[in-house]
Amino acid sequence: MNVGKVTYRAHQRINVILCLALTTLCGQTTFSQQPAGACGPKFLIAEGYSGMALVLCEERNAILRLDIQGGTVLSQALTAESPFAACLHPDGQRIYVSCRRGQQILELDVESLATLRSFELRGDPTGLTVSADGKRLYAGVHSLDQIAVWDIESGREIKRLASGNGPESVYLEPKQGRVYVTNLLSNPVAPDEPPRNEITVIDDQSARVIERIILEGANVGRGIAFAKDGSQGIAAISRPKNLVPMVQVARGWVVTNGFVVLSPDLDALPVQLLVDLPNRGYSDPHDVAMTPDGRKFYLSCAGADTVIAVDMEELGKTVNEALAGRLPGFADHLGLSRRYVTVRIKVGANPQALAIDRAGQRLLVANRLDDTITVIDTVSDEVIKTIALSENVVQDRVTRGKRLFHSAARTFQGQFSCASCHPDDGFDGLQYDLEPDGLGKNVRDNRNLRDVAGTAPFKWTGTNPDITTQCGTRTAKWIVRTGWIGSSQVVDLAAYIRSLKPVVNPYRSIDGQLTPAQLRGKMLFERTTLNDGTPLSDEQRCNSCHAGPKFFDGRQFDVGTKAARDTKTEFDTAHLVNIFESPPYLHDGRSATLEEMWTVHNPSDEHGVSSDWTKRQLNDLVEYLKSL
Amino acid sequence: MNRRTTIALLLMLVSGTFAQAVPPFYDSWDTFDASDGLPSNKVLSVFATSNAVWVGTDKGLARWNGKRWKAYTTKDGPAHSMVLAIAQDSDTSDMWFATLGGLSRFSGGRFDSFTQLDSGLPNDVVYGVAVVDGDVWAATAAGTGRYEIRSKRWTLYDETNTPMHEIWCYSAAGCGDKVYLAVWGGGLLEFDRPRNRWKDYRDPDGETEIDLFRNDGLVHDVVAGVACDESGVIWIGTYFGLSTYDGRKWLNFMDHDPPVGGLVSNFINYVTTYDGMGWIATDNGLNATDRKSWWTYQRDPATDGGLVLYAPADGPVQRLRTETIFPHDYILGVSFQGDEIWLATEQGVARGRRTAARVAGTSLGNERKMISVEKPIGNEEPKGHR
Repeated sequence: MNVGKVTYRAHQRINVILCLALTTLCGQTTFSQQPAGACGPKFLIAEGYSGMALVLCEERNAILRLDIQGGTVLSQALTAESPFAACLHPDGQRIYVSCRRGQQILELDVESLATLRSFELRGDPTGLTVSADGKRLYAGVHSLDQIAVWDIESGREIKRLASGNGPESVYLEPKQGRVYVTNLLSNPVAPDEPPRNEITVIDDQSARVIERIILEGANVGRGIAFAKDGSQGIAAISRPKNLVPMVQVARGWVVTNGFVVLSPDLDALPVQLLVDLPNRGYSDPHDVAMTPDGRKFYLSCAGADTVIAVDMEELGKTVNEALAGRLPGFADHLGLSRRYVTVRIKVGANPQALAIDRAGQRLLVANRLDDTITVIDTVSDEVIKTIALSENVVQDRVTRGKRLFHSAARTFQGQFSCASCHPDDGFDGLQYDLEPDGLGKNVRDNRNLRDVAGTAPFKWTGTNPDITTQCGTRTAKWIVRTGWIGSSQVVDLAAYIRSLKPVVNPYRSIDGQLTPAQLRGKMLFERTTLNDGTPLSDEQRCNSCHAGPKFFDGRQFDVGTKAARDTKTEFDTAHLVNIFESPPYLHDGRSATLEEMWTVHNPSDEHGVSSDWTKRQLNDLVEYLKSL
Repeated sequence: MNRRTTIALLLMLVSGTFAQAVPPFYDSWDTFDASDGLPSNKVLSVFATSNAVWVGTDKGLARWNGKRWKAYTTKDGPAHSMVLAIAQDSDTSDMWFATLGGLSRFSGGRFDSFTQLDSGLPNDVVYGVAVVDGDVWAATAAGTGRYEIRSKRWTLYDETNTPMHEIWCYSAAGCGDKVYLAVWGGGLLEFDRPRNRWKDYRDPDGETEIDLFRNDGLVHDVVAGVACDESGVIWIGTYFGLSTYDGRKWLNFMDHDPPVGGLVSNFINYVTTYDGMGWIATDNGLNATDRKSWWTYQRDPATDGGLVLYAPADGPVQRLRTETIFPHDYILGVSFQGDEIWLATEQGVARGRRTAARVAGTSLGNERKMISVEKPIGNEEPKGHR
């Protein structure tokens, strides 16, 4: 509920009273046994010394309070769709929850979990934190590459800051007075350049971006945490080797997994290190939790169903050697992790969020795909217990496929999962040399998997007639290079991929109405004549090939984009749903923006007739395309 | 009158006395050029923030951190080496640069560029830029582009949807709910943001280079710069004089009116406002005025020092001299940082300081070092020294 000018305190009181009286109306429920239905634990907050934890359930659209000691869910409240991250207000009374598909930030009463206020945030809200003085709320806006800043008292958004590509985690480091924002994808780079992932640094006092830490060769930035004294920070990253042919998978050269060490006090360069071993990958590093004494941190490796413990003292020695230049190639060194990784703990399926209680004695691990919380003793690093969050969890094809998608168990030496290159079920923004047909030949842009159902055939050359073919033998032959999965599992995996929903499009109005510019763009998209009245043939019209509800025709065409090292000239007609979110464009990612497809890469009008467009028409068309 | 009221009145009187604006007398100058680390001597734009000074040259950008310059070229910085205008987003502190090859943003150490080929920017030749309430206005050679930072949407304004009969836009400025565009040959355009409406202000005398009736409207349609002051007065610099408009009345100034001590040249490159004054950068020196009294800064070729004329509203023109001055009278930009003024000139960027708070022999107070005051000069004094 939007409270306008009513102060949050007044509203807080009213809502808490109402919700305590009418608990079920506010969506809060108490339980004598675990609630039914999948939870999908996505985020964790350990509640001080109380032995309680708050868990966000992305499948159930709920937040629940868990009694760690008793292993029971004490209460649960509904949130908006797909809760993603949460943070406590410094007053300890309120909690903020971002809901990605719900397009909202919720303000909840910590005690009752009742919703006090909600703030609309279009553009896929992700990580969030509250300023040290409790006055401002920072939230990542994934689809728009921004960080929204709210004044909490008034509930008014006060500014948008430019982040990196797809802000993910937002973390306040109070000692430095800085907010660190990790970003899922690399900043834009040319197709033949390695990725450059960014950590955006905001000065908390002024709420302004003061630094952008560039991580050369890194992608998929996830969780971040700092030592209590603020001296060192750790962020989870991966290091894809997309510029070498995929045949190098046998040499561990496709996706490596690790973290970056930030040492702001020393003003030292960030040091990237791996947690992989020479013959074993620990894919999809996701979250970081640091013990209060700063002696170790834990890293969840979601694709490996593993949590890794790293000794900070040993890590410090390695970092110093790296900074002194005595460890050449340290960022890609598969043998270094033996120095600082002390234990690799097997946990549940797809562990993502981590949290440590205030005493530093218990590590909580949210196993997203088997609905459990693993509790680990931080002294012995042994699993104490595993708490089930749901009863009667359905195990259908989609659920099974989801596990396969996010597991690296079937890839060569566990180097990567499907989700490594398709994080968040989407894309990684990179280009790959997939086939052993010669160095740099047939480089292909990684395509977005969300809403891919019904867009057959697949592959940029359209040679795979369905998702099952794409995900079965082809994947085994060209990508994972191992036994891969059985035919039944391929069907499961395909079912999951077909189930993937598109993100909510911030360029599309809620009521579906097009803006005047989008309407003009639509007319250009559907035009049948040139500006001078000359009729256009069917092949020259945008909507001839990009037709139907997903704007594609399932055919391949030569649109004049064959590169010197391409062996094919015809490429699959891309579907256009949510095309706004997946630059770069064209089969090899040569087009950095939608505009460039016509201003740079269509010199002979082979990809539609664009040579008679005015700049205004191009702008209108792009506005329309972004709304699809 | 009770005691409390008496004290209040006394406080008002005292505060009123001390609240008078400090006279814009910058008597100590130094210059930075390529030998100090600028990419080039030819400085086209300057913008001072609270903790830095950005300078645009014909060969790249430079940033002054108070101690040294850091240069940025197209390899690691702006879209084009010629940086014509600079603006800051006061919310985010991000810097925006108008270049001959697109629009660039500097945010937290990262440059992002927008060009006509890869974004909705109307044209790569960007002459001016302003950030108004989260919107970036890029004045280009083919209309003006409005980039809404929050939604990432571009809107193009040109002859098809505004009264812009010329599309050569030179400058943009926000003023309350309105945005003004300086259109070279097309006068001044006003955009009412809440109402989404455009209005144009044109020279009633058409394209003639004379002003037939005083203060009847914009002095000329060749508008190069626009700015807004704290009271909402719009300052418009043209190549044929200065116009000001308070929403009801126009007040125009040309170099012959008054012939001495007023506008130093009709050829205005840039106009801005600061501390209640309009600052006018011309091809022949610098003016500051509150529309009543005038200050004129020029180089004195005989001494390489400065010649400063002070023309009060109701007294004779007085001539002051400074030992140092900016390096060239062709001035393309003006910006302020506390007590310092920064000028973009043909031969480097100049920094002026106020070391003399008062001026001898004038109504301004007592003499300080480096200042001499000559006898008041009459109207027969020849103007300028082009």
